[in-house]
Amino acid sequence: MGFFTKDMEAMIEIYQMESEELLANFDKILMQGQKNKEFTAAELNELFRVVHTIKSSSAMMGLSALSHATHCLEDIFNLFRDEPSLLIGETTDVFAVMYEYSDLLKAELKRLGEEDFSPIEPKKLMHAIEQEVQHLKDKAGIKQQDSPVMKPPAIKEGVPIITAESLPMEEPSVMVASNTEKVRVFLTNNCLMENVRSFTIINQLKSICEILLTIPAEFEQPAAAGQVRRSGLYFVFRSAEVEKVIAKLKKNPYVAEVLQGTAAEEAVPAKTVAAAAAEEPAMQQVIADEDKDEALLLEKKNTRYTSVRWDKIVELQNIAGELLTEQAILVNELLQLGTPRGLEIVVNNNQRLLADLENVISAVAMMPVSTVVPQLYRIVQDMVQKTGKDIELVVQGEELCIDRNLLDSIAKPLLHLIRNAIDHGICLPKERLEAGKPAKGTIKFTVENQGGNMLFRVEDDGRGLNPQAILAKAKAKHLLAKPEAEYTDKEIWSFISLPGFSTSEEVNEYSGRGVGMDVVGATVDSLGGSLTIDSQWGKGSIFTLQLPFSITSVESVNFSVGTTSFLLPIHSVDKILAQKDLAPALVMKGKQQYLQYEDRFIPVVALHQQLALAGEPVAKYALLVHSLDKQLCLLVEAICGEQVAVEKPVPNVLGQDYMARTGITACVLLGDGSIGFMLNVERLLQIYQRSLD
Amino acid sequence: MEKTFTKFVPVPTILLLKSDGVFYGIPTINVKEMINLGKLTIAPRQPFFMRGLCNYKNQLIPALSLQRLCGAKGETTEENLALVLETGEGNVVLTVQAVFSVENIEAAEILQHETLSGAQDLIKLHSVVQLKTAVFVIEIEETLRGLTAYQEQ
Repeated sequence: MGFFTKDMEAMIEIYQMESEELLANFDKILMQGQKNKEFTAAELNELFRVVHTIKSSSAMMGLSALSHATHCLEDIFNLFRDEPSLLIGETTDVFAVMYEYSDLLKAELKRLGEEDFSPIEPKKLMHAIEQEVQHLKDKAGIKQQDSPVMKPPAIKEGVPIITAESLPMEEPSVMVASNTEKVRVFLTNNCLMENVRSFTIINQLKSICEILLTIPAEFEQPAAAGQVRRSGLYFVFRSAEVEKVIAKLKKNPYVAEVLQGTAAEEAVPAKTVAAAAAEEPAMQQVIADEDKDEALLLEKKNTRYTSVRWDKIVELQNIAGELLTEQAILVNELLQLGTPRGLEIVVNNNQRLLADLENVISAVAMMPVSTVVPQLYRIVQDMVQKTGKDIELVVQGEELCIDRNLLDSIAKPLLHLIRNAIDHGICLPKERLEAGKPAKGTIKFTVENQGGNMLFRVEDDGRGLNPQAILAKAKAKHLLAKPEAEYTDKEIWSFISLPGFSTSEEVNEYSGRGVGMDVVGATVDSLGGSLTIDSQWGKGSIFTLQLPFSITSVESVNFSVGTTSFLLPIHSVDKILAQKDLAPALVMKGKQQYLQYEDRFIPVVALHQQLALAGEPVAKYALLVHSLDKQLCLLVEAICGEQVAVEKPVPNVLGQDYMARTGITACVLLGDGSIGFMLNVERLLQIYQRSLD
Repeated sequence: MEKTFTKFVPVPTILLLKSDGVFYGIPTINVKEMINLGKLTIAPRQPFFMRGLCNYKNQLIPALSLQRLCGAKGETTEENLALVLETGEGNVVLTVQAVFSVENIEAAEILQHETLSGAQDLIKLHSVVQLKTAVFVIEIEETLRGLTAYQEQ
């Protein structure tokens, strides 16, 4: 038998899932704290909640060493909560310890399912935490014996330590020792500024007791006054003289009622609000406004959540995709049969419901980009510390949501691009100053929603790519297919996406082995996207990943060339021109045909010729399509309509370079049961560009 | 002196096929089912050994011609039978001219030789089995891996 008993095995998955979610939140708050150089009270409470939950659940799983380490980590947050100024000047070590804890726990979570799993003894981490606690205590001038919370309880293997169950629902939990007291204070009616009064009360009490928790946590929040008016001020404190604290509270002229212990934990009626409103009409508007905030909070509270296995969501996505395809086939069949009116209504209703179903499933599968941002900050902090470079990471658009499958797939490529920017792009402060740049380098990570595409851009103001060095390396590796002078910048940059290609003379723990950019390119390819590189030697580089918004279905225009059906994402099609409008606007420049359209010359590509299709070419329509700021005019034979296309992968047997050769990124089952091919405009542009060269 | 494969795992049963007068064997473990070949969609710039894509239970899978894999460059003849093969690389359809029987080859004389398949051969052989006549047993997984790396000249 392994480490876990049969009963415990059933809980592993739940423990893993919950802990992973908690750690994601933990990393996010740490990142904010590191960035802002302080933690807000709410952030500290949340960190406490996270580590406390992990501590308890780890103990329940019998992972006592991990639980103990988590308990010790609480001490650090406890010190910060007592003295927020302690964080000033703590830019690296304390965060390094916390991140080390996060990494260690993540690694343990991954190992849990292994047959020969045996928990690690995190001695190194424990030592680092203890050192950091001691350092912070020294800084705060606290002696070891003055702080009972610092002493970890004796934990027996497999025995749960104190859990949060004894505390009120929805409220952050804290370790409750014998000399702690829970209190709920109601202020007098019409006292106004309840949040300020509460803040003053808590501040006054700090001199005679230790405040462990307050609800509301942040008194400066607009909703705090209403919350105190309705539910009172709830707090937990620790003191050797509880009665003295209560007496002081009762002396406060704004305090109407003080409830202690379990009475303080009970639900609170809204009598205070009604009474206040009846007595003071002027307050009614204020209360109404605050009630709106509270109604939102209440709605949030009443929203129920459940955890669902990700593979079930993927299965749902696939089924919804199949249903959409079947619906398209059904509609097509019915059209051919001449559908009776009644049946047409049913089919239309089905279509609408399927679209709703697909939208809901897509929304469920969406995640904000911000979930990967902490990892990016981590790598920057880590590398800054190790390389001595001074770098700021600026993030824009992290609130945008994308398909989780997509996000999971691009997390590693993004990390790689950031690592590259630090390692190869941005120089040491001295070199930057000599180059006339600010000592601090900037890496900008931008996310944009461009119609149905998502753009992920990593931009640095470093040294840029050296075209000469890349060409020299390409020459040495016998990769040049024409004289060096004939290579355009884009062609030169494309070398760095080849496997094993690196111009770096040094190999370090981050890069230099030429492994990575090829993986970035391959990942983007597999997702039906494209990678664009722009760089200027001495100025910096921009790496842009253009990816579909969703990798499951896409609204598309369906058209054909000869007997072959193609699709293009609807967002990439600007206009469809018929032959009669097209012919007068076509002009030849050298050997290349262009469409003269609104004072622009747009290159014309005959798909029939480009894809070597069988039969005689017939061009009845032109599709004006775009990718980023570039346009292309595609000559096609027939426009077949629109379809929600469920993309299926291109079979491997068509070749590893199939996308690059054809611009086809996926296959799609069409309404008539036949197969269509999804095109990518960026790929078509690249093929067109190559054909010119 | 005869050299053997380093990781030779005997195949207990094969499905006996014939293409242009030559007998081939496919390990039955790879054969999912036999279907009548329906409508195929030709993929732009598909390799010569591929006949097209087919819609198999809503999966879009490539249909490969045994005749073309064996070197025939022209049109395939009488390849109307289709075997759905299940592999680590995904499902694939193999179109063949004729299917005969399932043969138990555990007791048969098996010839294994590392030079059975050349680097240029599209079909990778697992072994040659001596039944009434010589049967070339195809190593499906290896063959598909090789085809993925195949580049049209």
